[in-house]
Amino acid sequence: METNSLIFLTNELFLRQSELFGDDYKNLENNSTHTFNELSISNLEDWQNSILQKYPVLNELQIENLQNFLISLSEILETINPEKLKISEDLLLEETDLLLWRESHNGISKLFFNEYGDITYVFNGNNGRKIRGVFNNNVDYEKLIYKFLSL
Amino acid sequence: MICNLDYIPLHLHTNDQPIIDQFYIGEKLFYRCKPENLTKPYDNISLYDISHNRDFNNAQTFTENDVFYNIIEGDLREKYDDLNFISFHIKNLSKGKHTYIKHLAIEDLTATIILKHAPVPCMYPHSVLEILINGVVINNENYKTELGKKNQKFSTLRNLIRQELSSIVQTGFIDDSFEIEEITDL
Repeated sequence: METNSLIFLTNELFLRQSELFGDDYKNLENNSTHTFNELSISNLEDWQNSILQKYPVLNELQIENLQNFLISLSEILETINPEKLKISEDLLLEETDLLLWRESHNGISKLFFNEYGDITYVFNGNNGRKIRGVFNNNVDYEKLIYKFLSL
Repeated sequence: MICNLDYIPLHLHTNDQPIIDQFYIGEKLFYRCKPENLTKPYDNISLYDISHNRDFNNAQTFTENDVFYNIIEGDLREKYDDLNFISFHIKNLSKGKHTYIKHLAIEDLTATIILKHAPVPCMYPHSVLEILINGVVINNENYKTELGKKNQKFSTLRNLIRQELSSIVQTGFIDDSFEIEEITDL
């Protein structure tokens, strides 16, 4: 199996979730997987709207990149329980960068959507490891999401 | 350097004590900050005036409580009770280095982050994570013109610096063996 693929990511996240959340996750799988998938896409739209309302300073480039990100994410959420992604959002005050971030056992992954149309991927590991990549709006969003979710 | 504040404990008075350039593995540092600076993922951290106390690997004498003393003469408040602190320690310094120094660059802009012992009359353990941009030390007065400029290059440089600083706060240690891994392909 190709390791840098969404299928691999799906399987890996599923396994991690199973290990981490044990019985709770099993119950969700048994009882409401389909409902969760439907809800996830609906929640993404709500999430986007709430971000736009919360951060009216975002410009067109940021909004366009965010929308592209969410379109790709919605495809992934067909197979992954969105509750387990635990993505938070924030605004980097000085830069007016939109910041999406998530914490795992390995560290904190971040995506910055800046006003110039760049998307910066940052990972700060709990062991001190630091990764960084700056991409423009032509980035492969699915691969970017993979990177964002995989560490 | 004579301390004229009678509420400052004697061990914090600088008097004739020297600057100690050498930082030690295992040494703790205490950073006094506003509660909001302790919020994950720590990216709203200040990029100037990043002052803290060192403990010289002498935890009995130099404790985290020392950072709460107000050392401004003429100010009636003796302690900052509304602030918090975070502590981190020095986990690794590259062979031959006496302190943490990190060099970052964007095009023709260079940033250096350096940990320095900077005693003041009433706070001998006072230290700073000093940021220099093209050799100029950044402070409250020159921040806007030297580092806070509103353009893409400076914004990228600030984010690079933030990654270094937020990593220290997040991990609770300084380890200069990790360089930022730049990725261009996903």
